[in-house]
Amino acid sequence: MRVPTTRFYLQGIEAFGQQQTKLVKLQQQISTGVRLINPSDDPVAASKVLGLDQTIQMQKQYQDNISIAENRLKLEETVLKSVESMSFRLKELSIQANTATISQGDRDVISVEVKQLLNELIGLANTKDVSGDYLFAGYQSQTEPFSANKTGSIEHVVYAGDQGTRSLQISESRQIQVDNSGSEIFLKIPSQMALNESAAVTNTGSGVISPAQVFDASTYVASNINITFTSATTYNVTDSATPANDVIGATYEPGANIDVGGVRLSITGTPVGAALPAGGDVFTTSTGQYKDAFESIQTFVKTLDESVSTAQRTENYAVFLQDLDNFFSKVLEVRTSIGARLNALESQKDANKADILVTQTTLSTLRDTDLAEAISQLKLEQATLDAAQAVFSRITSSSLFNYLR
Amino acid sequence: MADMFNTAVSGLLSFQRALSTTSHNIANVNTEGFSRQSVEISANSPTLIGNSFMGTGAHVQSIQRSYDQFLSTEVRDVTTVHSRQAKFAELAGHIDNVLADPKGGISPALHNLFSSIQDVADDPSSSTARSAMVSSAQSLSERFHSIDTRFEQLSANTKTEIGAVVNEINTIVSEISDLNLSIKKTSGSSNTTQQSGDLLDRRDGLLSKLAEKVDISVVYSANNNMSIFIGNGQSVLNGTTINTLAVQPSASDPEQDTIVYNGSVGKFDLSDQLQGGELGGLLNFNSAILTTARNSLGRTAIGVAEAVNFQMREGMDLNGNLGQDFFSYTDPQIFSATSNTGTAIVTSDITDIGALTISDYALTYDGINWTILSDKGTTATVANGSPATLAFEGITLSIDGATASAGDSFSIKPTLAGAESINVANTDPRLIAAAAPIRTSSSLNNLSEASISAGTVTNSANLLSGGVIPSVNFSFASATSFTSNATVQTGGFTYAPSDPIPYSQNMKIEANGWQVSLSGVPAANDQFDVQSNVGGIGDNRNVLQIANLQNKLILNAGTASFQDDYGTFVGFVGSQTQAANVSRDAHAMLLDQALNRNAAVVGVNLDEEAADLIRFQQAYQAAAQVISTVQTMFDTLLQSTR
Repeated sequence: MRVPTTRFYLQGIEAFGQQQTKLVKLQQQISTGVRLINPSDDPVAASKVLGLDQTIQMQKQYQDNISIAENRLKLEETVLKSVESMSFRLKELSIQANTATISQGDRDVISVEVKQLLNELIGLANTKDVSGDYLFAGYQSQTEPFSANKTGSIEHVVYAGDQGTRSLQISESRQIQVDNSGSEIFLKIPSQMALNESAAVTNTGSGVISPAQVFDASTYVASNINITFTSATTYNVTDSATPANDVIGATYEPGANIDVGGVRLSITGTPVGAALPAGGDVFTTSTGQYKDAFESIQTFVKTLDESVSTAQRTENYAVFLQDLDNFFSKVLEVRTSIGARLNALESQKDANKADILVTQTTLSTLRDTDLAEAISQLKLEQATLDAAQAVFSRITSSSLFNYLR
Repeated sequence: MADMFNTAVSGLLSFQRALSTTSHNIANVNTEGFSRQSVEISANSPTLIGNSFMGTGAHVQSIQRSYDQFLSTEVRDVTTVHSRQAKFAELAGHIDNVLADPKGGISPALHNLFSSIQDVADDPSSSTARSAMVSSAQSLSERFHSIDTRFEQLSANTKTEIGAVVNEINTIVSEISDLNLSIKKTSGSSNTTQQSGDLLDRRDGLLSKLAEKVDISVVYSANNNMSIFIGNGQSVLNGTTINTLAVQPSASDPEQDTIVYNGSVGKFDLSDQLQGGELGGLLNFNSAILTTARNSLGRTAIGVAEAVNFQMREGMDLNGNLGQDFFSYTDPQIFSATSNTGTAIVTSDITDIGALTISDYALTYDGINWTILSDKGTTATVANGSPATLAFEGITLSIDGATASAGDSFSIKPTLAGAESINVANTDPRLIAAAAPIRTSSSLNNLSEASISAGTVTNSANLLSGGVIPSVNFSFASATSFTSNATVQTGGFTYAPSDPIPYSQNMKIEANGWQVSLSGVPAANDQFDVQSNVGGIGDNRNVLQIANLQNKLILNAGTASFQDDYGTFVGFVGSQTQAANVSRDAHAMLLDQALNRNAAVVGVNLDEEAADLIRFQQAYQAAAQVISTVQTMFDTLLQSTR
């Protein structure tokens, strides 16, 4: 069989081309450390690698989220710890106030400190986090949640936030709550002496009822109290449990204290009155489930400041101690849940770390060059190229013309 | 003696021709497509002298061209397949390279987008985080644009190349035709052995070149006639008749080019039948990879855009308004065929990204019904109307067919423009709807521990009434019955305001596009409220949902996340390229072998020619010696007669 001279050369050249292509590819793989340069090098692996990259990025993001969650919960924890020590101090003060030999002057001193502690508590309840958002405002994080207010003669704290909580994603399937709403911590203290107040929906006047507070625990009996306006300036009071407390034809003074059956409240504005039996605007108090923490302290302050009977004072102090205990329980409950959440975050962080490591290892197996293998392959291909070149020069140098004269 | 002289001279001349043929071979050792020529020397007719025949020398019978038709046809056929695969592999390699850079692909940009979304979830009121989210969304859009632009350039280049190849085909065919005439002229009689070897080589070279461009079959007939056929038997050269090819936009889809055959009975579309050569490779690349690649990328883009938009609309922005679309992209592309005689109007929308495919569709009207057909073969029908609506594979068509004529057709490409058109529509960071639109509360006056869930959105279109989100209140008359101040649905029933509703644990209540659930044991006079979340700046519930879209299986009938979809696309390109490369290399080897076999017959081997040189040279010398011997004989004769 004849082999044309050109085929010798062409085949040699083609072989060089192929070897050199392989060498260049190996060089690229070794110098970049990456085996997968084009998707066509290993299509299935290329596609998997993209997925693994995403997994790692998401897991790292979850770790970031966990850090942020930890910071927020630790801040909340710190604030609640201060609240706890504050309630201890208040307890001390109330026990101090309860001694028999105390004078009004001493009470005034205590009152001053309690008022200061109250402001501090409001300040703590208005804590902001590192981004400047209010911690205890629910979703309305740029509205100051707690502010002192006065309706008529009753001082109280108004909550402008809501009941929402924020959660962060700490793993693919898990979210964790990173705060508690102000209403949960400060406004839902269980109490036997909690009161609900309301204005009837049928009222036509502009009368507003302040929060009602149990001011005389010694005479208070759980009941429904109705205040019905018989004219613009007169009202009747009915106490469902103690008819002896009923009042007919009381004179309405906007913003003045209204004391009925141990309950103190205040009405402001201009209610519309109408003669019985129809009656005009109606305002009601009834037993409730929750007191807010500030109300307890404010009642304590009023008990210290005003001249009240010993029985009332003693009962009020007792109620205050009970309220403080309940408040403390509530705060402890939240702190415990924060502790549990921090633990969960810690273990999730470790789990995520382990996941990241596993994923990175898998990724490396798919994507990175096995240097040992690549270098030995390089040596092999180099040897092949050298051999091909030697053979080429051998074959092409032999020609019959060399032997003709 | 004179005879001997003539015999010697005839030998000399023959060997001279042989030597010149050998030197012609040597001179053309490196000529592409050259077929070795060899001299056939045959003995002259003997003359009768006495009763014996005397030989009268030799003459050159013919100069043979070494040629094997079977082998050279084989080379052509293998060339066609190889150049198709080579062209296809080359083009696929371009796309492969576009996707090779790990930093330049879609994945890093996609990851950054979702990272930034998580950052907003971590701190919803932070304007830094929100701005960063807008930026990374813009980067992602840019990335989609740039990759799609490369594809578009490839598409334009492919089109140009198709045009160039078609022109080349036409040119080569006319060159072959001219060459045929020359060959005929120089061949004298119809004796094929007398055709010029070099002209035949030239023609074979042109045929090889043509085979590289498109698959052909060559038929030789009597009287030196040669015909070339392509496709399914359409002749481009028949004797002296030439039929050309041309490139024309497809009637049904002006974006696509078709190869049109200008036959004697009319023009028709040959594209489907041209499978081989560079032309086949180019056409196949366009339909098999490029269109799929652009559609696939488009679907990922549209998937991201629409999923984020949908979730965004379920939230509330910093201004207290319901969220608006975050991304924008164009509706499916619709082209009406140039052959349409009616004036129906077709519009379409993408309505279900889970059902969205990467196919293109053809919509045709038969006079009564409209039929849509995907390029995978799935189909659906709807009767004509004004409008007629058809929801199919994720898109909804609206056809105003009042003025349609039978035979009208439209080409629909839902995802083709997805990657080039995706953009951030809302660049104001304040408009990112991080919060949920509603918040719930249980009244502090409640005497029980019953609670209400935080609330989720079921249909953002129903949230607003008169431009605001109405507040809804649930008021318990007793532990087992409550009323609402709005119309609600629960347990399969609808209740009007103030209708008594029976309470059951964990019941779900729907109203105004949202859903809440009540749990616990309520007491009489308990109140629960659902209201607008205006001012809920620290709420991250909605952006948390947007962040969780990252690994949700949204696309492809609920089997793929965005990353999966893109990964499938990369895998597809990679495996097509890899297969093309393997095929090209395999065919290169086959081509090599075919060339070797052919070259064994037609090639010039210098050693062989050197041996021939020596052989003819010696023969020439011997013949020359004969002449001098004859001269000596004559001199001797003359001497003897003095």
